[in-house]
Amino acid sequence: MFKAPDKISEHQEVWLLIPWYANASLEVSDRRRVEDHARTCTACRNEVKLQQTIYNSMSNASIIESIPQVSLRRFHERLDALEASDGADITVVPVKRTHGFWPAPHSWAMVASIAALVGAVGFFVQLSVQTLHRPAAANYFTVTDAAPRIRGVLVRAVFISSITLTELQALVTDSKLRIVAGPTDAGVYSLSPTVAGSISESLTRLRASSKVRFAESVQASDGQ
Amino acid sequence: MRLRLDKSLDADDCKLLDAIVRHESKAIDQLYLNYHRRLARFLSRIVPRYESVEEIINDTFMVVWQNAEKFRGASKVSTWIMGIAYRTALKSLRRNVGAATQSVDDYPEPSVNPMQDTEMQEWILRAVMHLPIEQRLTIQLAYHMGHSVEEIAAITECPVGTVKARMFHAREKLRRYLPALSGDAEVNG
Repeated sequence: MFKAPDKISEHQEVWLLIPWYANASLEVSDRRRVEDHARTCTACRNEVKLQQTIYNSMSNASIIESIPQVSLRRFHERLDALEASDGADITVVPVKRTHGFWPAPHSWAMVASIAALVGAVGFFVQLSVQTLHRPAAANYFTVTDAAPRIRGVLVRAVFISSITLTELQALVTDSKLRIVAGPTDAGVYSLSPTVAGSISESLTRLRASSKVRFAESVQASDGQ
Repeated sequence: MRLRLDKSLDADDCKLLDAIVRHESKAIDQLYLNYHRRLARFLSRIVPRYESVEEIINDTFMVVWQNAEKFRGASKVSTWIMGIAYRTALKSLRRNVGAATQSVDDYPEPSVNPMQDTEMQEWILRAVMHLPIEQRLTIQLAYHMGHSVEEIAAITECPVGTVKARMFHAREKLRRYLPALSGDAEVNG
């Protein structure tokens, strides 16, 4: 509950509360305060209407269909990489042994430090040699070697990089498709039809859009 | 009733966090799936590409995975996770600040009557994308996600007064972007 000062600041304070009146998250006492004030204040009444219009537009706005399983797989790839790098760190940290015939811990630290130093020098020498002989990294992506296969996927598409989520969602919906996977590292989305037998129409719509770089149908057999 | 449900959900989330502290990967999977849609909903309206949404969600859960033991229960787990997502999104938006925001003068005049529902919605969503980052995030948290002013203060780690001020300025800018919406309503406050 906010304090209730004089009439002018009451108007100002109610004005500040209006967005949360519009989204219905105010406590009952503050809600009544806004309603009481708005009864006698035209500006606040109009502002309530305006903010409710904006709130309704924003809260009802459709969003792109989220694909948590695909994102989760990528998250695990990062997690695995993190765990692997943690594991690599552990190998250069001296481990305290309890066996009687092992050297004392501080001796191990010295041995490990020397080993790490030698290892680091060796690593950089090898890296330099590999860099000299390694072919340049490919500057392209393949679209056929991505992600696990998904049953029933009939269209693959690549959109221009500047496409917004709203545009992407609208385009996919208009094409009677839905996203079932992607994007892959190459930016490929896998799409399936929302209406049976509409695949050629979907492809035509996608290809007619300047936001689509590439769209193709793929076999609907078991493994696509 | 809603309060009881919230408490029950929070208790479940706390159990998952405890398991994450013990590095049980099934627990992070469960928490990830529980929150993915909610975070995607929030982020999809403030960052322009799905890849960025996914990247921010995954960055958020990397922080959760690595810092679960630091959660002290001062807020609900959902508020803590939304706060991490908020700060991650903020960093991402600031890196791309030139592309993410434009001045009022850059905003095109509506060429059609925006009072028709779908067009009006589109104009509002576009106008919101032109707000400065903090104001955009605040209005998204309030109107897109339905958070209270106190919840937004907790998520953004700002005083309640700052949240109200950001919302005030966002409203003023939207009024300028969308004159047809505001009609004759005078600017006050």
